[in-house]
Amino acid sequence: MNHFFKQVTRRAPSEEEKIYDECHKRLYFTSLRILNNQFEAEEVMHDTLLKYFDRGEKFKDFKERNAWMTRVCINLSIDRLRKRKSEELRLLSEELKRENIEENVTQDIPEYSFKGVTISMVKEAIERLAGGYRLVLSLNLFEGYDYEEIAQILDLKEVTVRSQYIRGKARLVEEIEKLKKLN
Amino acid sequence: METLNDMIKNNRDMFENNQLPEGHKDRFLKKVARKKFAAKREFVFKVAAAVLIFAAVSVPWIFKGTQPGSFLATLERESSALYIMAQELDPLNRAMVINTLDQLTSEAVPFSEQLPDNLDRKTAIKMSKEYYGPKIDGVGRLRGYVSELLEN
Repeated sequence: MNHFFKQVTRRAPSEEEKIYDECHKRLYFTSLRILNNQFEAEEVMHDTLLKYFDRGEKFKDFKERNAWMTRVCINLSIDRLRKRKSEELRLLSEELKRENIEENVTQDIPEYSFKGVTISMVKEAIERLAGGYRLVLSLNLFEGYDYEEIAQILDLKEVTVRSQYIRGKARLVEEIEKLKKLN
Repeated sequence: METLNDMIKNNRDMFENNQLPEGHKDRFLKKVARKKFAAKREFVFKVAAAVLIFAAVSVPWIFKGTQPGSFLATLERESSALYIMAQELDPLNRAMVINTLDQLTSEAVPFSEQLPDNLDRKTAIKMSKEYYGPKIDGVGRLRGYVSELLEN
């Protein structure tokens, strides 16, 4: 069986390899931001691409294909997140499903200047966030979904998504400030 | 003042420059190969099963034989030729074809030798035809499949 796999790598790239080379990185990081675990993110990325090959249908253009893949990747990542029996999942449930005991947070935080903040600080701060906040922020900031779309994906009310986004961003700023002090 | 959105938009690549786990592509290609192998095996088994069922209902004769033992001889000849053809295939397909061939042709004791000695010749020929006919037809279809694989 190993000899067979070696033969595969020496031949011209297959259709699967070409699509993999084109799409794997984007899907991997989409999943990694949600799951915060590189091995699970790899599995989700693989599963997304295998689903694409199983589908067999052609898309109108690359944009449509990529949008489909991203959505599948996000859904698979969220499914994994929900299956985790961990503190993170508990927080996710509490943070995302809770009806606001205090008022709905509708006021965004005062605009924070990211001047002097490095990319690595922001990356680390995002990784430190609770799963729910990281998920909502990722979907908005990296995947470009608006509150309505995120609400649909996560089966939440739009006002809840907005609250979670604002709180998540506030926590992100707190984490960045901690990292700035450490530096 | 640079906002978070601006920072991410202008530096997207830097947010996605971590190394992926080593061997990620190889693991993916193995998963693809496993899926393809499973799909091919399922296809071949379905073909073999369909042939056996079809032949049991209406057996197409592709051979001429006047002795009960000649059907076994035909099966052995056809399967040997196919075994040689299969050597031209890649290891994965070769293993699959040979495995299917074994399932079609293997017998602990040849059928022709199980027939009672006192059975009349006409009945013995009829029974041998009914038993070996579907197997010979199955080998023929498998040979067609191997030919397609070799052409590709």
